[in-house]
Amino acid sequence: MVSNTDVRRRRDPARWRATWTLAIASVAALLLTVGISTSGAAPAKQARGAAVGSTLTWALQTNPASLFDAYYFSAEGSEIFSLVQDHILAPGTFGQPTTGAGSVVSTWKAVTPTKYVYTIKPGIKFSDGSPLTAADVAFSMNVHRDPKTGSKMGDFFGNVVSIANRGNKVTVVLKKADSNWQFTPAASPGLVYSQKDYRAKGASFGTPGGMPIGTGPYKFSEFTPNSRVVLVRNPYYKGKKYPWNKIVFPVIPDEQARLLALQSGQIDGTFAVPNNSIATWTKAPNMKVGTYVSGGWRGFSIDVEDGPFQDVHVRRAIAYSLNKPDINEALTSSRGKVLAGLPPLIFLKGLLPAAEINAALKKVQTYDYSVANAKSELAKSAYPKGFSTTLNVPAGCAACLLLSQVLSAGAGKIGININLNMMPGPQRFQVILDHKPHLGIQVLGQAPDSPHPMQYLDLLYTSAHAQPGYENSANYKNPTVDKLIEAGLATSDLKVSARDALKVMQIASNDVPYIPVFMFPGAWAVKPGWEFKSSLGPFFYNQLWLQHLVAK
Amino acid sequence: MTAGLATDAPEPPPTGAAPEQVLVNGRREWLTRYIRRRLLILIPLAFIVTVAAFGLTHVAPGGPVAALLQDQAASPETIQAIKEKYRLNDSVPQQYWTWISGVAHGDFGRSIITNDSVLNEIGRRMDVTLTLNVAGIAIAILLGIPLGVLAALRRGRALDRLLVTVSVLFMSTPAFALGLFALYIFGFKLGMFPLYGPGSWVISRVHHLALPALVLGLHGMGFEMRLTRAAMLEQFEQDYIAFARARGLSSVHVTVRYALRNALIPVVTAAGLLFTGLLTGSVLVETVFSLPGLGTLLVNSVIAGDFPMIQGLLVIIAVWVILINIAVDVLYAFIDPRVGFAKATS
Repeated sequence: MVSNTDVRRRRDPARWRATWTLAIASVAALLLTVGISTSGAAPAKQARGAAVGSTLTWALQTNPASLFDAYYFSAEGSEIFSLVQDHILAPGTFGQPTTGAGSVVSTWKAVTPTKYVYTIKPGIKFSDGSPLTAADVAFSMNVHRDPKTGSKMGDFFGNVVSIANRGNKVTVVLKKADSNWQFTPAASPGLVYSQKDYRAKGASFGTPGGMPIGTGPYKFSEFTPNSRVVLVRNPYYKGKKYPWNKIVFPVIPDEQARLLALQSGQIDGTFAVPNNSIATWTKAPNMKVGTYVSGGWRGFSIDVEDGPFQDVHVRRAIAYSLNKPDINEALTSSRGKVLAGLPPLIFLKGLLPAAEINAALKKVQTYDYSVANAKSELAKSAYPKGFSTTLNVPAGCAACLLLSQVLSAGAGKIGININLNMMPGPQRFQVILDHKPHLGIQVLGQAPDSPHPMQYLDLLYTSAHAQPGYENSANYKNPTVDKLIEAGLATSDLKVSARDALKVMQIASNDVPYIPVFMFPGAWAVKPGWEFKSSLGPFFYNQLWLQHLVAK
Repeated sequence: MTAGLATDAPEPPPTGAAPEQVLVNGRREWLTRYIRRRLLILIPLAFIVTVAAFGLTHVAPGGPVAALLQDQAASPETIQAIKEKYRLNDSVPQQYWTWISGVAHGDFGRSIITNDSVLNEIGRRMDVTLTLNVAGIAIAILLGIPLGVLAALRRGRALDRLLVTVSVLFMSTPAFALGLFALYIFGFKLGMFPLYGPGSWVISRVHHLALPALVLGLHGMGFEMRLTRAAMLEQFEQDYIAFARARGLSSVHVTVRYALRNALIPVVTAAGLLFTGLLTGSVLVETVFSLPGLGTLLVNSVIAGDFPMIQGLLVIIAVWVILINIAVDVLYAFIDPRVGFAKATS
């Protein structure tokens, strides 16, 4: 009797035929697949970025959720929007308001500390040919104030009583004097929209079916969410023409894919160079990388009303346990700037002489890394043997995680056990917004909204902001600091603001409600031979940034 | 026999019909009833899914207000305005009723992140995901089944060992790692494929999706190949195979018509699983190749806390999984007549 096994092992010709038939079928399927895959495939050289004069391909890291900044407020969004919508005022390198290219205003004036009047330039047209009016400008700000819009930028207008237009003028009336207001029309809330266009597009405004029109050098031509945004020239734009007829913003979330795309020439450049990869990108061939001052900072807040953190010695001990230069090296390849306090000094240097700033800084308590000093401070506290706490880390923020790990390791050396609790970003931010259930230590990262010396301080140190909905996550309340911030905002003399900011820095350095670690850099990467001819400032994304790009 | 099963019995055959025709008619009728019944079950299942999707997104910590503000401070007035816009001040049952009433009319609400309608967002990504998945499954099946059969035929030989090694390699390598490797070799070094994006017109889309589809396909191929090999080996041990060979049937005939057909049930089950898994499991490949698919949309929505989008996606994915399961069940009956026959004659 012949067993099945014997049948299997026997090498009869029919069996071999079956084997070869299947082998050939498999190879054919593979070839078919590869054939389909490679049909139309272009060699690498043909896939390279187009020459100057046709298309600029500039990669984004994140998907623009909307083309309406009320719903998508980010630097990457502003990079696109600023080429389509003019601002009311155009920001200079450090965000100072100007009436140059990119602004729809010819003159502006603070008639009183609470009343600002803007005169609209004549002859500006939207990309559909309709004329820009003062009503459009007033509407562009009022739309953010309207609760029905649910704008993320509603808070910029919290101090506004009214915004009205008459003739070619727009008048803004504030509740109280606020010199920070002057920067608002030159920031994201200052983008100019067409009222008629907004009303016509209704709920779809900002979606692929309702792309906004603007008065800038380009107009939206395509918006495929999570894929790309395409701009083409605005035929009614009268300002300087840039070399590219078309600008494509592809969304490439993966860092490696973005890097390879730039090296192979499939994109021309990007601002999405992660801080902790700047060194890697700089070493990569076939591209050029540069950095600029971003004005953004990373660090921690410590809830001064929460358990052991009420004790100032505990907060100082934690500050001493943190090796800031090493963190700066690890996270920015030392291209960031270690901070002694807030605000970052770039917001003061243009206002005060260096000697004055340096003199004031001598009174700022610094906490240079020292385990011995950290232990000594903790010994003075009510918790000399240490304690345990939890730090919420927003998932998806690599820098936040690394920063938190370093803090945890440093604090561990003095007996403070910090457990890291990964949370989805919105969930973590909800803790800050709600100011509960437990703020403790929070890892923070912020970019500036304006160059006003008091901008960060108002956000983080004002007592009135130590409540749900605001970002004083240290629950810091100091009447002297409140008065300094209020005075610094009320005065129209920014030098006075800068001096008050330095005083706040001195007081806060003793109280340690926040531990600012470093000011992170911004970075760009372009194809070989290209570069930015001048250093980009912290608010470049609100400018017509193409004017700085030199393409060969 | 239960009353329920009695109602499933086929109508009596017309007088004079041949016995084979009676069986065919009975099977067809059973299939029709079976599909109809499974589709009806979809209604209560979909309802349960809507309740679960809505409940889970509301139980999850981290509210939509924080998701919308995305690290921006907001005054109580702004927060109140947002709550009113999205009716977050209503009770949870009221919110569910508002939402389910909209769903019943084909309105899944608006994304709180993009402000666009949920169906628009899903529809825009559907073609990329479906194209990617259909191509990936096709590659997995077209390569996996023949290679699995080949490995079984050459059991214990060098070719078998090689194919098993390759299948294990593809199965155990994470799809995103395979994707990055493919991107580097074929996209960057050889310049055969674009490095990002889905392409905008037919040929361009095929060109853009070929490499990610191949990566997904090869990942699934390992799974299909191993299952096919195991099922074929089991069939080769059966007496009917020895009998068929003894009858002098050709090896191709025995392998394809006899063994492969009987081995297909687990293979089809696996293909169904691949189809349901790849729909959302392709998220890492979508990320590596910068493709706007449903997987990325779901993950991004979960991270961002975009609850109307999560609810819409959960409902659509659940319905999709149920439909795939129905399709797989129906395929069983086509592949193995005994499945339908047994039901039809019970």
